[in-house]
Amino acid sequence: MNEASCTTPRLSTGIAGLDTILGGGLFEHGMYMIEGPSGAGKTILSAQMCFHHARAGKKILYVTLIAESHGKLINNLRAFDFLDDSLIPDRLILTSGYQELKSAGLSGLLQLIAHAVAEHRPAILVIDGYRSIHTLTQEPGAVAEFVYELSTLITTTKCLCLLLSPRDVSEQWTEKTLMDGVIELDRHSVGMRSMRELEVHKMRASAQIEGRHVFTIGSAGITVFPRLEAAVVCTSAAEEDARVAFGIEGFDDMLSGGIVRNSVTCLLGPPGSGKTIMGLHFLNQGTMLNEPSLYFGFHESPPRLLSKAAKLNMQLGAAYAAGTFEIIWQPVLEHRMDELTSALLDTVRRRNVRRIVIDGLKGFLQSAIRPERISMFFNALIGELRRMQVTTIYTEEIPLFAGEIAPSMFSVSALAENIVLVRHIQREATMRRTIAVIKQRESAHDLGVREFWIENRGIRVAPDSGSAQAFLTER
Amino acid sequence: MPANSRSSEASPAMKSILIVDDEFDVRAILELILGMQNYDVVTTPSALLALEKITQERPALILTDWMMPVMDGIEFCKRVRSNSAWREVPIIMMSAASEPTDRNEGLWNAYLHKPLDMDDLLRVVNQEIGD
Repeated sequence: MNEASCTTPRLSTGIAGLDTILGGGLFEHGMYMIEGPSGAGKTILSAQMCFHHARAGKKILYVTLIAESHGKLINNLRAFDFLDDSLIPDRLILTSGYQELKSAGLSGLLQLIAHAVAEHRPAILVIDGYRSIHTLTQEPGAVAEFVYELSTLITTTKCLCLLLSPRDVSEQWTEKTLMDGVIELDRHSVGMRSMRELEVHKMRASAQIEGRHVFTIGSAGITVFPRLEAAVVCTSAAEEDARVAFGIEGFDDMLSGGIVRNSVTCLLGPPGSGKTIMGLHFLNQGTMLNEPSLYFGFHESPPRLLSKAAKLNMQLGAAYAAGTFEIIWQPVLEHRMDELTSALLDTVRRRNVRRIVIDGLKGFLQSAIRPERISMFFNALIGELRRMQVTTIYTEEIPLFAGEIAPSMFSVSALAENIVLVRHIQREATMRRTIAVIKQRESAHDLGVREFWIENRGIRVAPDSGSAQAFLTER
Repeated sequence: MPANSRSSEASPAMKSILIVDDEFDVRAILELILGMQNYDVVTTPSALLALEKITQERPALILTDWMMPVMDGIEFCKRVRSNSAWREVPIIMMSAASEPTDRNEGLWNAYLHKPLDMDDLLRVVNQEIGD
């Protein structure tokens, strides 16, 4: 049995997100089974890892047991940026073990592998098409014995071994108990959409992140998105008393100077009620104080958003050019919730963002393939933003002209420390707008409902409840 | 691989190595690695069988595991050293445990930790019987 343990150094997979899930990578001398249905991405995952290490100067031995030619294998990888022909065959050595397995059985295959390993001293050994070992071996127990010997070989020669196998048949294989880890790749359909998920079923001596994680396959290869609600570190942010102003005349007074720094605010309102403009005020105020600010939205493209800000005399265009303001725009298409969040958190880290507006929580909700995750997912996202010392505003839409606020898809009050409600009110032939602070964390705030206007210089909030009181009570 | 085996057809120029280990995977891999270095490798799963083997043919080197059932590696070394015909055969002791230096008393020439490292193995073997 292989002796990989927490004292053995780890080898990065070179695959974004996967090392995090594995608890820091794979053990250098470990043996791992990568399993999944045909087309799940097993060969891509292993090839991506191999080229990552080949580029760094390590040698890779790739043994194929399938009847597919090496030319075809390489051609199939041409769609990916990581393929580098110049590394073949000096760093990445391809060997077929199929004929040896067929003619000389498992001892012949072991001998072939041992010779190749002793000659090339690879850092990684991949056995692609591991299923052939079972289909071409009749003797009970022989495969487990082979794996046992292979495990000793890789430990003795200090290399990591990946066995690629379909999952449907591997369920019953007893030699899986000898593996240091088992990673499953899966692809399935959800309605019209296709979804790829990865799960680490076993990882010896590691605190892996359990459960399923979404992954994508793009030109860069595989990107894995650790499930946020399972991956975030459970630490609380430092408590802050400082205030963060919106820079909106009248409104900051309602908040006793602003919202508490690093807090989370939900801005509720129907379409066209001014939520985005309020968000832009908040970000504009941040950039004026040199606080890196981020707009994350689904509906307004960067040029359209900057044009809107310019018409309101905000300086966000200059801040955008200077790099203190960033826009992430994700048109409502087939995104994945984890992918969106990863882009958001990466930008927050990279830009040291202090203020963020997530405009349209609905966009996130629409990207959720597993709705049962939403509540915990947003808790995790908001907790992470808080931990990263970001003051967050998110907008959530309520129905136009609703007399009562429709119950939200999940409890906004549990997520947000502050809730602000903006509404349209029709009075005779005129539409009026009102704003109210429903909740503010540990702070006194104006309980009144005030009228507000969207003017050339943005939003202006009435200095008191007088005008709103008048039109709300008139008959 | 069979419990008792020989790596290849030995030529007179090949030095023979006797491997004594109750773990079949260790025997198999040592046989492969040392066979590739042109040693004539003979393996056996127990110390008692090993004593029979060396009676038939004196090896150039013995690689033995320490912890084995019935007769352990230390007792095996004592038996080998007590026979004047085999006294000079170099012995490499292998174990996952730390070397019991207080019990060596000239019984083994070198000690290798398990899991074995191919580079260490070949270095120590060559040191003992290399040209």
